[in-house]
Amino acid sequence: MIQGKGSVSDLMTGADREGLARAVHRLIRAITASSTADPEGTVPKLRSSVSTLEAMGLDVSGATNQLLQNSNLSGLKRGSDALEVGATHAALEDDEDEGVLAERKSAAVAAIDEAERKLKSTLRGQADQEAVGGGAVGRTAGSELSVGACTELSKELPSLSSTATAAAARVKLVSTVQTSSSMPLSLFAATHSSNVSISQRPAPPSADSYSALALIALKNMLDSYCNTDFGTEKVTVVTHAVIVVTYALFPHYTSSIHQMQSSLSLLFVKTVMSMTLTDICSNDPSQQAIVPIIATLSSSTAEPKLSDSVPTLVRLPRCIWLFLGFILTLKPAIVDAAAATTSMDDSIDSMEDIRHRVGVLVKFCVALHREVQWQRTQHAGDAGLETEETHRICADLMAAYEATCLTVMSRLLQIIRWRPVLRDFMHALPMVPAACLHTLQLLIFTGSQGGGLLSAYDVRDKGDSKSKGTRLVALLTMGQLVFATDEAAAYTALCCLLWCCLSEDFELRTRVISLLAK
Amino acid sequence: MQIQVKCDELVIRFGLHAIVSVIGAEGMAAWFEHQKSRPVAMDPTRVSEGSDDEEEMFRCPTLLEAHETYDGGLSFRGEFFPVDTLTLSHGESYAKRALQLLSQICMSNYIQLLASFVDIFIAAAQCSDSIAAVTAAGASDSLMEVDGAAETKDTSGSPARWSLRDAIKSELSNIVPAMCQHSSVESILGVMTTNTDPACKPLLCHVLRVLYSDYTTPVPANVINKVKDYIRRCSEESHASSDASSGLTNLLDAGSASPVLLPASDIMDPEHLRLLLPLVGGLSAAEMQDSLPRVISLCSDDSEELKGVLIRITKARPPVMTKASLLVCLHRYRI
Repeated sequence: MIQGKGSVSDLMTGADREGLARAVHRLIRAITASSTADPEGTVPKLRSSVSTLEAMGLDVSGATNQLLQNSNLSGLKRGSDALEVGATHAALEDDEDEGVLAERKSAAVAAIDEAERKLKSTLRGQADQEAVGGGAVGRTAGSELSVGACTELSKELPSLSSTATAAAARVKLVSTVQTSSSMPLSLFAATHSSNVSISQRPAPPSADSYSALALIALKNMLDSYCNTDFGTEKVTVVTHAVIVVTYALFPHYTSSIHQMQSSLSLLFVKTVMSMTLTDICSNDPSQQAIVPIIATLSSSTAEPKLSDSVPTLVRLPRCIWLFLGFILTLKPAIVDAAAATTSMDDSIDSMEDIRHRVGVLVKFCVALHREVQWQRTQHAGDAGLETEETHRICADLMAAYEATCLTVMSRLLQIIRWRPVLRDFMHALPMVPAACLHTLQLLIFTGSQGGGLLSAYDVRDKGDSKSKGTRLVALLTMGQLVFATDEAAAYTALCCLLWCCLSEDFELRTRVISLLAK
Repeated sequence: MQIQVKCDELVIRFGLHAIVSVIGAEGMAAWFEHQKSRPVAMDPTRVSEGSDDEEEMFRCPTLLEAHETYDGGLSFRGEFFPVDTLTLSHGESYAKRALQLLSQICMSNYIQLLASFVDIFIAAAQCSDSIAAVTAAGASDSLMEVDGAAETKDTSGSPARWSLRDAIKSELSNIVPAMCQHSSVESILGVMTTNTDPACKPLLCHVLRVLYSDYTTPVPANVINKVKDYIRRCSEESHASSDASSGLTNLLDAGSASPVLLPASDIMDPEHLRLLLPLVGGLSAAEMQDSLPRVISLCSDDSEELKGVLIRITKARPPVMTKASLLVCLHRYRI
């Protein structure tokens, strides 16, 4: 009697069949997801094995949603090889005699059992590694990140020179325990869960997959950051953590705000986490990015005094610039790499999302400003006078604060869809920098007129289909600033509007008077 | 709320400072001296009107306060352009812009600002008088003309016939009908009749004409009484200052606590009677018949005005007199 492929499967128990099918499916998904290059031809072998098993009557169509992007490729390779051998044996032609077939049948079953055992052991070992190392393996569709053990961060600390960054040379090292004790636990866990353990990290995967994971991690962290009611003292720490993670996710991020690099470095996270806001905002030219504010500023503008007082470039600490870059980057640019199948409608930022992001920016600015106040009060209490060092630190922090405010304001003005939230951002600032006021004042006179048709992206969930123009947006923002908590800025804004009432420009005058009369 | 009140006060003060810069230091000084020389004649009814909580929280700045705090715009981190340093066309435009801010605020929120308009009107009149005096003295090289009474030429040679008083009238023509949407005519008149300066009577007359530009609009009795009361106070002030209106004093009940309002037929002053012309549609028939000869004689020079008065009499709702009655009355008086 000739025994066919179906007979082989009949000899396997139901549990064996199910386990084998699940293992094969996992294997395929893991390799497909984690490796862009397949030099050993593992995937074709597996596909061939699966087709053979399917022909034998094994059901391998049941899919799980787990992504195994950090699988141990060598272990999987061995498992797949064994599986292929077993499947090949089971697929022998039936022109042999019965004794030979019986031998081969038992050999095929044994080979399949062996393959399954190896696979299971491989997967078990990988799961153990995940539990210990806190790898960035997504558990459910990438949304729930594995919680890394905090103690992993305090393990081996390679030399600082290995980071090859100038920032690492001047940071102040503190223990991770100290950092974790001063940081809310949920945020701390989220912060670490967004990173990949060095010791368990496999060979460099594809850039897209890691970028997607990193962004999901940061988004989760930001979500937890925004949904948590922190005390006033902890805001600085929380904001610091946000900067740290952003900096860690994009350490080589220099050329464009929309480009993302995949080189995650836990060491870098650790060194940057030990920096304080004062360190970050220090006036070190090597750690500062030059951020353009105004691309073209004509010298023949109507307000020459204003144009002189408005900076066209600002120097911003690089990590803050990266942080702002992440928050202000439009959603489609972020998610394209991670979710190519996302529909256009889903990828557009909702106003709620935009306000959520601006809320993060406001909290960051508030934290910076509080740091300045804290530095002043702390050192004033110690010595009674502001020392030169304290003055320098406060000046650096204040410069970073003003540059941050101006940068955010300019970006909110540039992105049409974000313009409605500019008023909320400016109104919430604890102190409105003079440069921001001068820029708004300049825009009132020289800004764009608006009235152009908005794109489908910009007009989503908004009533009007025409853009307001920077001129009107600046005017409305000034009107809002009249009621700002910063009384000096409020008075300056009011004075600016009052002088606009005497302007010869009929449109401007009418709008301002209408604004004031309301 | 406090921020809102503070902002409103600053905005109004800025508008008044801009007006002060238009009128100029000399004009404001003349107005200030004039105000000091006048007896204070407050409207007794206004005390009860201003006792609500809203007015206690916000006190509208006056032109007098603006004059005292005027610093050329430095307190607002800028500098006003004195109008006499501008060309006349620019000066007129500048003044209208300054008035526009005040009028819009007045229309939207603060009816009390109408009192400042009255003060500005009086100040413009005082300024006009001073300029006229200078012009008469031979200083024909004055750069601007605040009042339209005299004609001057600017440095470019173009005729300069703009008047601050005309500009105020024009602004009030625009905003008073809109103010009636949320304020009563009586309250508007209550604010505008606070100042009994004779110089502001043309403005009040203009406002009454605007309010009752529609001949068929009913004129409430309390509005007429408000105007009559204003006339009475003006007469008292005039009597106190000049002690000349002997006939008028016989008609006043000095011993009564409540003032006695004169019937229209007993109002001798043509300027005062002119205030009642827009309101003749609300007079009684007997009062109209008694005052008809003086009204006709007052409008004899202006046929359009006379035509308007007659239409008001016959087409008011309800009509004061029918056309037949009016003709009979006119015939009786041999007019």
